[in-house]
Amino acid sequence: MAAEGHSPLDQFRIEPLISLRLSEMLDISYTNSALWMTLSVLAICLSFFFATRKRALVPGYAQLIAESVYKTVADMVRDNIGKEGKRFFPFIFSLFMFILVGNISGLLPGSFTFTSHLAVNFFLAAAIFLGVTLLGIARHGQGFLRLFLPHGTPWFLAPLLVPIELLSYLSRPVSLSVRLFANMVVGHVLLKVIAGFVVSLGVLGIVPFVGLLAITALELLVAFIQAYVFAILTCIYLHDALYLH
Amino acid sequence: MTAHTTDKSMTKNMTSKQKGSTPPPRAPASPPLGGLRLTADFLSPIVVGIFLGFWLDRWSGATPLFLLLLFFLGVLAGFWNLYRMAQKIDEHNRAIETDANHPDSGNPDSGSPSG
Repeated sequence: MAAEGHSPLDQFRIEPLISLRLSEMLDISYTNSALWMTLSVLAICLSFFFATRKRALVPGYAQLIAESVYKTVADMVRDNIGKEGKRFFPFIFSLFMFILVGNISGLLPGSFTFTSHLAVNFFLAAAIFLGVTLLGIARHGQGFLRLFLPHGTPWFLAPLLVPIELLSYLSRPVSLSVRLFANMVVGHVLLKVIAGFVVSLGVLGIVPFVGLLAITALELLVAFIQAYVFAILTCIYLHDALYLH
Repeated sequence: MTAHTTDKSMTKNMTSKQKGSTPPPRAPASPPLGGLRLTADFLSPIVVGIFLGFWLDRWSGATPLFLLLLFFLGVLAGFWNLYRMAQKIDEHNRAIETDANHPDSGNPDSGSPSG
């Protein structure tokens, strides 16, 4: 076997780069995952800083890209949250860019995909879930509980529907984080497995190599779509909390 | 043939832009994501139900009770999610049909819940 000792799952291994093990329970080592998060944030900040530095009335290529990304997110926020969504634009934009750059940088050879770890995604999703719930309660007080009883429900269905809605609400952070996690893991495992075929098949390896090219293109699309889905679902949850459906 | 299809997509774009300029009274269902959302939205309440049920069982000692109860509730919630999404997609399609007053919107590709 050509790929001896290299599991397709090796790419997801977290390795501490600067060991900071404070105690048995607390380990805040700077890992490869954290390194790529830092790099992503730096890349986002620097590229937007330099792209929009000139503030040209007729934008160059870099500024055009920055502006169209801005417009994509701005449209998404306006269409899905409504007028009040403007306040949440910085948050949604940061979230979208963080996940998007994380997904795309994961496709660089030798890099680490931090969005392929449930710990990262679930933290993001749980923070959004808590924030949205607190926002809804702050906005509507007790009326927030109306979210769990859809308008126009017959009274005899309420005892069944309320637990269902509650469970569906509680499962939001899970579905949000698992969706991104699963897409990233599956894509990267698939790439590694097929890359193994390229090596072990020798000359015939050209066939999986062509497939690999296609899958890489597909993964680029998935990276964008999943970041978009994450952001748009956050918008929809915010809308629910603000207007209760 | 190609000219025809681009023409179609252009008119579609225009109608969607016109829709975007007027503030929507409710959040659009964003049907392009329909298929992507279905699996996770169906499965996650079941997983959460099983997890919660297991945890409640350990806490209360009524071993199979909460697990079974919350599992079935999770399945119901999963189907309820699917039903709601189908409703939203339907609503959206109907809104598009009433928006575009010409009958070329008969193509069934917009928002079909595939995948």
